[in-house]
Amino acid sequence: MTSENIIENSQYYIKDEPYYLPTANEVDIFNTALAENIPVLLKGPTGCGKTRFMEYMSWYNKRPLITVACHDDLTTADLVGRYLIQNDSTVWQDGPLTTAVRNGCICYLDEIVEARKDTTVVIHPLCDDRRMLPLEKLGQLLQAPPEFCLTMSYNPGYQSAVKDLKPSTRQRFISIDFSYPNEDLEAQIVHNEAGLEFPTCEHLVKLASMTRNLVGNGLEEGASTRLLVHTAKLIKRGFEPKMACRCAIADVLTDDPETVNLLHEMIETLF
Amino acid sequence: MGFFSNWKKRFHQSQQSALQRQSREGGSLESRQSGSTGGMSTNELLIRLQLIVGQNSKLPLMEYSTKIAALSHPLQLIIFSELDELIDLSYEHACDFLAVSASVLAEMEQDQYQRWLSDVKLLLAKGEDERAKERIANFVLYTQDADANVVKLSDITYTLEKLVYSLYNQELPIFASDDSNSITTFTNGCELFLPESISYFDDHDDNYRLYKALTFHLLGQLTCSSWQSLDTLKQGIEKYGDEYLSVFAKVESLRINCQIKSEFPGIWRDIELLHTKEDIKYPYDLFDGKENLSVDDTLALVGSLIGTDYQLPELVYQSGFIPSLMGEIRESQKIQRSPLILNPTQDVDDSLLDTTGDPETADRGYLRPVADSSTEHILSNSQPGLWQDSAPNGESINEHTTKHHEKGIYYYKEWDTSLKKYRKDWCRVKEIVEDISSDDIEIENLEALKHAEQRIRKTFDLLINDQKFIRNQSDGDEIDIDAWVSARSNKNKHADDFQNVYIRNNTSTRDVAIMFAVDMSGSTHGWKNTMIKQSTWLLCKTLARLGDQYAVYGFSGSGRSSCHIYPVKSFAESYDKSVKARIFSMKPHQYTRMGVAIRHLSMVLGKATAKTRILFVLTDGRPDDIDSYRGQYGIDDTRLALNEAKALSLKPFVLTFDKEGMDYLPYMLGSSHYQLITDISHLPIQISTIYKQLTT
Repeated sequence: MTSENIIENSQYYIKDEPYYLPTANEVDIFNTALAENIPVLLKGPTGCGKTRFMEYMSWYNKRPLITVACHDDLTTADLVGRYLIQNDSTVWQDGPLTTAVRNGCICYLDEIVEARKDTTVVIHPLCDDRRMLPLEKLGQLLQAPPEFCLTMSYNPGYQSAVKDLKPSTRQRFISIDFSYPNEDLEAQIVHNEAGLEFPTCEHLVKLASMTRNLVGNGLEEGASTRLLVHTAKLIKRGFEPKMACRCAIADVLTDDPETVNLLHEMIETLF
Repeated sequence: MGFFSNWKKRFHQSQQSALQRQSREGGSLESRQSGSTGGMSTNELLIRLQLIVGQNSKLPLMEYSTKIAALSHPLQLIIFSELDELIDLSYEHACDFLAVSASVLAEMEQDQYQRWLSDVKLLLAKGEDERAKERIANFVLYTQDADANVVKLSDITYTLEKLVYSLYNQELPIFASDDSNSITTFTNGCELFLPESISYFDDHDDNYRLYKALTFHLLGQLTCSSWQSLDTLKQGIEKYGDEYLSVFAKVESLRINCQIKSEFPGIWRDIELLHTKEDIKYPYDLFDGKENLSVDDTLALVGSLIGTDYQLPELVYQSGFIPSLMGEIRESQKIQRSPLILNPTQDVDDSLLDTTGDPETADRGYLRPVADSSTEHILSNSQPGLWQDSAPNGESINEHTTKHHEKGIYYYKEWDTSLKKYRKDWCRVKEIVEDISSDDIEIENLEALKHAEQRIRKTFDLLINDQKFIRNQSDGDEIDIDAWVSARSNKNKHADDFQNVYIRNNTSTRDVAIMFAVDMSGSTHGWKNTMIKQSTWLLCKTLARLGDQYAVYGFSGSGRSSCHIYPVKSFAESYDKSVKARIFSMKPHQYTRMGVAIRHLSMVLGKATAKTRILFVLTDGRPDDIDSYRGQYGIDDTRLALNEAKALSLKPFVLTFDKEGMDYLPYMLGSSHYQLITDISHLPIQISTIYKQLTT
């Protein structure tokens, strides 16, 4: 790593400790992967704390974190870099992945399955023992420093034939499973995030569990921990719990009137 | 309420408006036959009745026909539809229904009629034939204005069952209990029994609260493990008689209340409201604020209270504790998953549970599935409709004694809107490959079709983007040198569009699989069928250009045991002469049982691997079959089937020629997932246009 490659990366550091409550041994696994230069795959439903975990691990290891939100139109150039025009000449602009490699950052590709499969293939040489990134347009082969770490997340709940990882990609990673935390932990998380009294948080978690039981029975996904935190914040701000649950949970989860009514009925049993 | 009820008036109005429309549009005989206008004549009715109840029946069919002839066509159809369904349940009761049907339809409001019929069916389902007979005969009672404060179980069963499911993570069907018993609220661990209706309070909301409280108390019996007291309870009853059971029930209800209070404050608030209404002095201090109460605490308290003067309150929501049923619960708990309400344990032998994967599927003895409902089958049927066996084809089928060992036979559930339940394995689907008469096909209007084909090709060409690089982009992978030079010269001329100097790699991202489900019911006979065939042919011919996966299947049938699917082109096949021959062999068959067809074809489409999977239904009318599959029943089942398709990440779309389609399509599909074609001659071009809209 040469000095001219060092980015002004203070913006990529997480300065304050993010709140994260470990649910199992995920912190140890991640640290080991970091030490052994193994890329990490985070699996879990939406809003269960994958991104927060990455922020926490970035802060914990004092490494800059570069996050890329993947989408359908994400190209290889978007990740690696491209030539731009500047003052009547072309200049090379690193993409986020190249920046992360040059500077020994943690690169977090969020919702990787949203990206096109041909795009994700570019990470393959980075994810095995070679740990290098070919920059074809520059004719360079960038060797990743030991500090560099590649992490991806995806939600197996969305998994259709289209949104799946290629085995060749999948088998380069170790996987950490992020299902929803158990009820006590989840209530603790909601309590800490929103500052709402614990018993109400317990009821919110109970409501979330009820909605998760209805997945496939009218609901595509149950209420996430993130939704519970939103709800708790509304309640903390003085909203009546039933109203908060309706706004932040029931009406968010579905548009189907029958299912919305059922969710309202669930809320009535708890608040 | 006059002789001509509002409901009937509505039917007459719809009939009149349909007649007016028809006279304006010069409606065909087909539309008359589709049931939009005109009642059937006495002779026609007589023939149909003879077909249903049998020619040798001693019933005064002519008299019935005369009465029914006075009704409008939609009402006549309702009678036949219900008659078909009731005959499935009981011939005798169906005949009773027939005797009063004309009067019933003339005198009842729609909601009264539905309640009456639903009650009759439920009684028949429970085997209470005599009571069902009484209900049919005493239909007049239902015409009296119902008490607005009464809450009927049938109206809230769906909500309560889903609520219970969300808590218990296991299906516990709710049934109305026999009100001739002293205990009307009880459970056997697999089902919950509640009163058929509640009018205890003067307020509707209070009666609904009472239903919820009763339900949660029954659930409490299971989750608070009341059954663990069974042995001690029996000893106590032996020693002290029924008084012991009575005290136990009261104390255990108080313990369940403690659980409800801590876990479900909303329900506890409802219960306290009921206490206020009942003026109950609730013994809050009975358990001395103890936490984590067990059934042992109840038994200890019962032991100390029995024989004393301590007055426990009579709780209106107290559920029944029946020792024999508690034994059943004990057995059932051995194999059931621990509920959410307690700390869940996962060490359950899942193989003992219903593995249909569909918790909504009702496995009830009274709903006779077409398929054999042996335990072996229920346990082996891991997904509805996904199993097949390899016994010889062409086995003769008896409607109610069907064997499962048939090739190309599938069984699917069906939604019964009156019962708010799925009927498990209700429809039997058979895939039938139509005989191809000849490969030498004469195509009508070939010249016109060539023009249509050109239009379709043009439409589809817009979808094909062979250009790998798109120039002059504001963002892209490469710099477009030409564009840059051009932009620089433009800049010198003070042009402001010099930013579009990139080349974007436009790798084709089309990844589409489409299933064309074509209605082949009898009503498509004639030129509709010709247009459907020609459109399908043109589509198949031109779709190959896009490289999209596509399949074409026809559907029709007659009754739930003869639902037929006609494969025309599978996803694996490519378009060739034999596909063309099959397209032109498509001919009208019988009826449109749409729900089961959608379920089957969703299953087929679900296996296709594509980013976008579209279920494209081409039909000429609303769901309709010879049995009860008509009206709201058919629409609701189709709606549920389409929702199930959406849950499989499929995108359903319905293209219809039915001019009355707007009456039900928005309900069935929501907005923007359907289209109505007014001029069928435009079908070929319309399909391609819609196809383009759907896939880009």
